[in-house]
Amino acid sequence: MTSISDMIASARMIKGEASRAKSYLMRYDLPKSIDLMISALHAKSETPIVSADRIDIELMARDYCQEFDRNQYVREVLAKVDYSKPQYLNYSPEKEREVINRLVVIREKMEEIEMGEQAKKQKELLEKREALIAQGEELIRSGQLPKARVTLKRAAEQFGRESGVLARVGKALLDAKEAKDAREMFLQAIDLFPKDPDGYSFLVEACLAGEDLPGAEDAYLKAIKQFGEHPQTCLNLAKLYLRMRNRDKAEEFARRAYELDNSLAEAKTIMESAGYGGYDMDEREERPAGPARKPGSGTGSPSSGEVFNV
Amino acid sequence: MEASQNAKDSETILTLLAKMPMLKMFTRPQLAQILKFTKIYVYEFGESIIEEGHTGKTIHILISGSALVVKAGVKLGVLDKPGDIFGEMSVVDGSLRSASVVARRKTICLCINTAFIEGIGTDQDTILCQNILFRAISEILAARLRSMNEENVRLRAKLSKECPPPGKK
Repeated sequence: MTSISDMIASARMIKGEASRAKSYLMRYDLPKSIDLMISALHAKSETPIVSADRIDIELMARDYCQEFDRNQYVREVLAKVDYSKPQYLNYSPEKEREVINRLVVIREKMEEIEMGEQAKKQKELLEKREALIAQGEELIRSGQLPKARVTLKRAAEQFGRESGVLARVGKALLDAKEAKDAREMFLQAIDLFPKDPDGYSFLVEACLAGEDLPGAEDAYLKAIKQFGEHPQTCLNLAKLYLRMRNRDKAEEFARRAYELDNSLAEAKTIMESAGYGGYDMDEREERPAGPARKPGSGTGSPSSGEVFNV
Repeated sequence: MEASQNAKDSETILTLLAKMPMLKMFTRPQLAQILKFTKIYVYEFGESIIEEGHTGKTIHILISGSALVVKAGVKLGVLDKPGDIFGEMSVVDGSLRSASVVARRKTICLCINTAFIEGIGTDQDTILCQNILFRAISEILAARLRSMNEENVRLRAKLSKECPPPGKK
């Protein structure tokens, strides 16, 4: 049997919830308002409430229902479901469950509408993004490079935080021979999405297109730091060092590539041509002391990193 | 809630009854008998088709529309396939409705008042109809129980993965 103090506590709790429910309703926070009112009405139906508290709660419930029906957003939702009657909620004592059920249903409908609107908004954003990038690419094809740059930069500004966008925009700029702008895009892409290998590949490509060999070197080293040593990456870096006339480094990375994958004949060739002729990799005899492996440079087994083919 | 009652509607209802999987075991004459105790109801958005805590001897079959199953203010499920049946548990054990069913858009239901069975004809006819009806309800409940068991197993697995017992990682 419920004690008097329990009844008083319950009544206080129910009134509190009903009051907050109305407050949220007036602020157009309908989901919270509905949840609170459902809770209050459910408690009221389960708990014996007597005398003045009971009357107060019933008045509050009636008042809420009237305010609810007047709410503009509620009217809009009801119009969407072709609800024709003037009153949606109609409270009377001992009929809490009916009101609760109606609140549950309208809440669900509101969620459905909101999800539909969010999906629609997302679709619009997606279409806008694709349209901007496509427009930029079209401008490049038609030779209008200044306009293409502006359009693609706008796409990068608006949607650059989404995965893959900066790499795509950068690639389009690179194809338009705007290596410097493309490089900026790829640097941003690597910064935001360090685990996306495309950014590194394209950055190397952009640097080489702009004859920025130190930039390409830096990109390779960043990739190795992120993904670990990969035989093809090491080989490509070795080739780059040859172009930079840095034989020591060329030999070092060719050796690393060969150690990771001894089918890479090109790596062996580079090692030999880098000035250490007669070097027998398999025997490892009389090998000049090379530079120490950099920390985190792998254990000799192929890493799971991507191939950077330049 | 609107209800249909005229003769033209009776033919429509008989055709609908014959299509219902639950009633496929009844012969056409038996269905015609059941028809006397069957009505089509149309429910508006938010209207309760069944109320939790009430008594009930009616079985409802969804013809069109959609309804929410609600218990203690919590949404339990959705009925949205034509032929979905609800309200049968109270018919079997005579207990109060365990949950409410509320229309979430304009919904049309076939409502069979099972109190009919007592007045359907001879005692043999009554027994036969009762048997067929309860057999049909048993199949529905068995399928639901099977589905709930699977859901139970799935939820337990998920729970033990997300909240392992103390002492285990």
